[in-house]
Amino acid sequence: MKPIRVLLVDDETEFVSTLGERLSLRGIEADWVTSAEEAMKKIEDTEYDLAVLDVKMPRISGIELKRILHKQRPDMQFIFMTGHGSEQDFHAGSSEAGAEYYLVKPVHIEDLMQKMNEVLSEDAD
Amino acid sequence: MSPSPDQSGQEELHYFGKVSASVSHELKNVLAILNENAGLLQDFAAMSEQGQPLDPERIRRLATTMLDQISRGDEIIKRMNRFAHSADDKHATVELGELMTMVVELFGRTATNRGIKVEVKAAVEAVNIYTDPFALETLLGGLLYRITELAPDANQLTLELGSQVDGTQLKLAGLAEQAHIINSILGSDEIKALLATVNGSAYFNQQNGELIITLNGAIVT
Repeated sequence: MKPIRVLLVDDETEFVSTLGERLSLRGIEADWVTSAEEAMKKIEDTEYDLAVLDVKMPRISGIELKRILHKQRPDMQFIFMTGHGSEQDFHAGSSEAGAEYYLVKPVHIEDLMQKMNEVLSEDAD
Repeated sequence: MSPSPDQSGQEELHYFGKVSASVSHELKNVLAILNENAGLLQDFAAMSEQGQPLDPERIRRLATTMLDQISRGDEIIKRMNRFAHSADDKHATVELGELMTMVVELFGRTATNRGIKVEVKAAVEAVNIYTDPFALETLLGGLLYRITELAPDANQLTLELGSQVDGTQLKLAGLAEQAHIINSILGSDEIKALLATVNGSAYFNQQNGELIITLNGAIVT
């Protein structure tokens, strides 16, 4: 079976690099970048099944980045991550993102893997 | 109609909420990094149990990252604690350089998200003033939030201590292109109420793009 190819985007380098390493140990081809601008460049020459985006990033938010990436790669799927700390923040954020695939930091890797499988299996249906 | 003291209090509460939300986001990021690094250590332990050798240097780097994040979290909490205690006394003697620095640090994450740099230029010597510390923090922080929200072109701001001849001046520079926005912000009831609470006034110098706040509280030597 073809491994999942995922692009992680988060401005916290120590977070995104370590998450990438952990996903790689689980057989997922994970690349990571720390800005929306880098993400836009990255998808020019690489096809990803899915992007995992931090909601709050400098200059271009994860929500805006999703719109941009979706135009470039309509088949790519998205999961959002956020530091929102409360239920209230969570609902406001997920509604803004228009996303049901939404994880609150700290992210449990098993939850992320499960969401990745869900979003990709829905896409395949 | 002149602004009521209630408006000042509401604005202070609103600012406290904004800062608390921003700090909680920042702490969540610290926890997320600790979580991933601890998780990777567990991954390495599991791999070691299956016979793969551990790389001591890699473990050391993970530990260093975790210690760095603990220091980062500690600084965030100390800053928040200082900020929270600044509301203890309605009037107190404050050192303006320290207060300005704290306000800008508390605004740090929002500034980064908005792509803005804010620099503090304090005086070489301490300048102590007797005022309402929390209202003054809310005034300065509230101006930063409002200006950078309404004027995204303002990407490099400087908060500076100015003349102390006729009252004590605080200057927010880097606003040359933002005259219409600044005048509208200064005209809001909330800002007027805060200025009244700290016994201050504000003026925008359109020619050099400086917003000047004059505090009339007594300087304590």
